[in-house]
Amino acid sequence: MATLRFLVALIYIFVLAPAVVVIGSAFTTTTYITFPPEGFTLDWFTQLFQLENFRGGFLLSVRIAALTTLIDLILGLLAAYALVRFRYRGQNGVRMALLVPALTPSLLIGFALLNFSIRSGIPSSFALLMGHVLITLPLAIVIITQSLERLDHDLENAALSLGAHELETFRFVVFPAIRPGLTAAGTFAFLLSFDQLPISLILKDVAQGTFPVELFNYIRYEINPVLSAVSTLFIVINLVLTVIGLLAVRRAGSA
Amino acid sequence: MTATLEAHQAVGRKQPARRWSVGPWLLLLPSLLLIAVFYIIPFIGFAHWSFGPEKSATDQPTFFTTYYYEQLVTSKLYRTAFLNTLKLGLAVTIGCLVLGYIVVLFLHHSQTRHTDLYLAFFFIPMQLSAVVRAFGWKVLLTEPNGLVNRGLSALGLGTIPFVNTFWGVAISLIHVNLLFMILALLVSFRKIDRSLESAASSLGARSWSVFFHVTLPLSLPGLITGTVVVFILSIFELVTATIMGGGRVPLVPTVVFDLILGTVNWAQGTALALTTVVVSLLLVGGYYLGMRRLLYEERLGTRKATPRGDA
Repeated sequence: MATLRFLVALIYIFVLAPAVVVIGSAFTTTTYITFPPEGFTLDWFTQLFQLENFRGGFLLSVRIAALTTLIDLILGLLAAYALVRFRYRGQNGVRMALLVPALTPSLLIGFALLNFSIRSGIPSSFALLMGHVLITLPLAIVIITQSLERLDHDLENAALSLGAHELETFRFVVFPAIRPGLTAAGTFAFLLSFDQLPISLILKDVAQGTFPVELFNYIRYEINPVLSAVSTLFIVINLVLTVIGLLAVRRAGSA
Repeated sequence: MTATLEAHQAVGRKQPARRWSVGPWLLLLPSLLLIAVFYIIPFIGFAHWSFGPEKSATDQPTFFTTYYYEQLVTSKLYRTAFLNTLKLGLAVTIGCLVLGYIVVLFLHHSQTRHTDLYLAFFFIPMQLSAVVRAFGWKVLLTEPNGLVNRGLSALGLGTIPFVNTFWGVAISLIHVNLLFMILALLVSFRKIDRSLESAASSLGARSWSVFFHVTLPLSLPGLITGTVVVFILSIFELVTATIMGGGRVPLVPTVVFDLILGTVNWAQGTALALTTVVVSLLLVGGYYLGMRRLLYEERLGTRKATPRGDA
């Protein structure tokens, strides 16, 4: 047991090391990366906000992630409703089919979409958005399905039998009950889209890539403290979104 | 028969058995349309291109050729990339299995109430997004000033060039995929009845014997799932392969990327990608079926052994 404990301690170091080194080296006063950092400075963070391509990449990523989230929520809600509230032939097949894109390597989805966009003339930026929707939608459907399953169907029937219109029933009965689920689905869809790299890289616009793509293009060739600062910012964004998502999941579970 | 059964189940769940309604299909239409137009059609086109004679995606192929598939066998680069990728998948799978098993075994024996807290740390690599993770490993493993190499040389072991090597890629992939292995193993470990292990030890089995004859066989279902998932996740990872491989380690994802976006050789790129998908699915499928069979025979074996033990 003592050996096991020691080995597990080593594995924890292995798991945590990259994050610790990235965050730590963002504060070094040296112009090259060193860990542990020498001194303490926030210069690299102020520098990163002046870098045009990171600012552009950030805005582009937020735009794509927001659109992806919106489309995911609409399509996901409709699909989840069809999966939970009806029984029909082929239902399990549909349930599986909807998950397939998330299980496909995104590298392949990226190239298939690039090929499609070149051959059909669809703008690559639209193909990029659809790629993001494809790989994020399955998770949104799973989360929304779960929160719909928790909602007692009798409540809806009661509202309908008391004379409420179907849309009114949705607005005043279903929607409030599944709102935490929708928040969770939306947050994780945003997070997945914001993090997405292979599809965004393959379908990259000539001038401006998304935030991860811009970072990727630097990290391929060099390492320096500014990149540590950018990476640290990236970690913070991910962390905040995850916490929001997990809180929503918890609320959805207790509702 | 099945129809009435389903209807009964539907009633049991207090849900309407509207079996022939168009309603659900209307609701599903947008999602299914998305998959049809932006997933199925693009992949058919993608597969189609691997048989096309033209290099550019804008030219229409004029005839059917298997030239690009023949190239995969004859060209040394494609062969190396393919074998390297399988080797990478194997190395990452074994690495994750060893580390994951240690962690899960620890959680199993420690009988802690805070399993979730212990597990939370393994979600951190997932939180980092592929670029940041690869960046962290590049910083850690750089020669000679990275933390790892400074440690190694302080111990008098010299330095090891990890960056731009196969093992650099493997280490960072083990780092991120460890979580999936642990989660898969935990599913099996949670089902293990601890009294079986204590029964074995109280009957005089040594601890390693308990492990090999009780714990390990009972954890096999999770082990099978975990190894399959980790293998599939490792072989198509582009970001880690590019940053940690630095273009010096031929791997399928990077070679396909260079073929299509670098030399615009769509046909060769698609042929390599699709062949890798098909071969790895066959390998993984064969492994999965083989292991399930082993598991089944193992269960039969224990069933036969029990009455004899009782007598």
